[in-house]
Amino acid sequence: MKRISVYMLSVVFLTAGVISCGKTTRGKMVNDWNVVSSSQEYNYVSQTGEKLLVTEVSADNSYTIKTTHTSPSDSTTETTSSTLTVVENSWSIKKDGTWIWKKHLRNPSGSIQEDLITTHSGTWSFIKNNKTDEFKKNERVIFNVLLLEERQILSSDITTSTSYLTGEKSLIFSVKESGKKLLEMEYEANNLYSGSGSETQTLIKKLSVTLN
Amino acid sequence: MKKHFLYLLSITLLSAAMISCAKSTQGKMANEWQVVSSEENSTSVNSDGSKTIASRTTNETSYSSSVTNTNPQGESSTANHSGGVNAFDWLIEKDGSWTRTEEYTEMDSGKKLTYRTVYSGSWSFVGKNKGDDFKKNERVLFNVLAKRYNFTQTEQGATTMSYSSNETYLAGERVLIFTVKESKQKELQLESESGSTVLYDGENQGTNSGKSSFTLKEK
Repeated sequence: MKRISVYMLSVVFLTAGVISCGKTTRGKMVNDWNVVSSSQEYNYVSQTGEKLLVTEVSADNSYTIKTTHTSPSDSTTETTSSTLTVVENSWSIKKDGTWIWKKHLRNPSGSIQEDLITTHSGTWSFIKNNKTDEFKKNERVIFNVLLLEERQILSSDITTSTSYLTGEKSLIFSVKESGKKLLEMEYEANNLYSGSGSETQTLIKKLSVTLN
Repeated sequence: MKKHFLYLLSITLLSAAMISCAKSTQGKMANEWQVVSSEENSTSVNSDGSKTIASRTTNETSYSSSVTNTNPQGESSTANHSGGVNAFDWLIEKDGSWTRTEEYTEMDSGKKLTYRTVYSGSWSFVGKNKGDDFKKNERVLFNVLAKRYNFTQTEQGATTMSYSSNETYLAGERVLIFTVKESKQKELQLESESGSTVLYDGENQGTNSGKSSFTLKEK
């Protein structure tokens, strides 16, 4: 009886050890995903009253970009909006630690069709837990951008590519929801600058993506 | 015999599971450190041939920096600065927070210039990755959550100019990512490297490269 207890205790501890070591969402992260919806917000307010708000919303294969600019001199507001078609918005997260996010947008308006293809690729890792900011294990993921390619096909086909080293350019997301067929991630930035000359500047950025 | 073997196997597996969970360098990272030496180098080359080469080194008491700009014709000019290090401390706490305090002074035509910057935030290890061959706890990420900057200029003991600024960020917004090169109880070496190249339609538009290394000793 005593021997059985020792066996069982060992097995229980071992299982607990394995589970607590296991990167439980690694398997869930790895997939060939489609970005079914995304929203991005860029909000800048300067001390002089200049405001710039850019929102990019992707849903149902359309991609809408809205820009609102408020001039500090006469408080006039200028708004522009354009809607593009999503040809492809895929995010492949691989088991070997690499990833590729390909976003292909098409502007059907105008006399010539315009295609914009942005591809981020690199390596990804989980960020370990931290007591101070209360993030738990595997709750945050860092996507190192090693190559960024921006291809514009209009009257000509031109690609601008920028290569980086690991850690030089990264996207850090909080995993909001992680299932076998659904992954929700969010990036949030809120930079507040204030100087002794009463200068202030606020920059808020938000990006949330839903993949399935 | 068979039972003994099973006991041993269970205990071995149990120990292995526990060991693999241990954050072996967490304890070594957390300390009150002094940056006893640092070296930062960067090179930026534009498509027209112009380039900027910058370097900065510090030791426990002094610093020197140099920036050389070369125009497309190959003519170059260099600006050198040097001064004293009042403080270069890096506090890494076990609770996941950190603070880096830097204070430098420089004399300029009888004026004493003092620059003080305090960064603070949270830190975490970055998990291993097969794609880039980094192992567990080999990389560390410092989230900058706040930056406070103060500048003062004094002449004959009186402050003639001052400026200060505060910046706040969210976790993940502004990060410093280092590779741990050496991690002992009383010494820590951190390094970061950058190297970007921009190609436009296959043509090189410019390259940037840089390397920073810090050697920290227990205070």
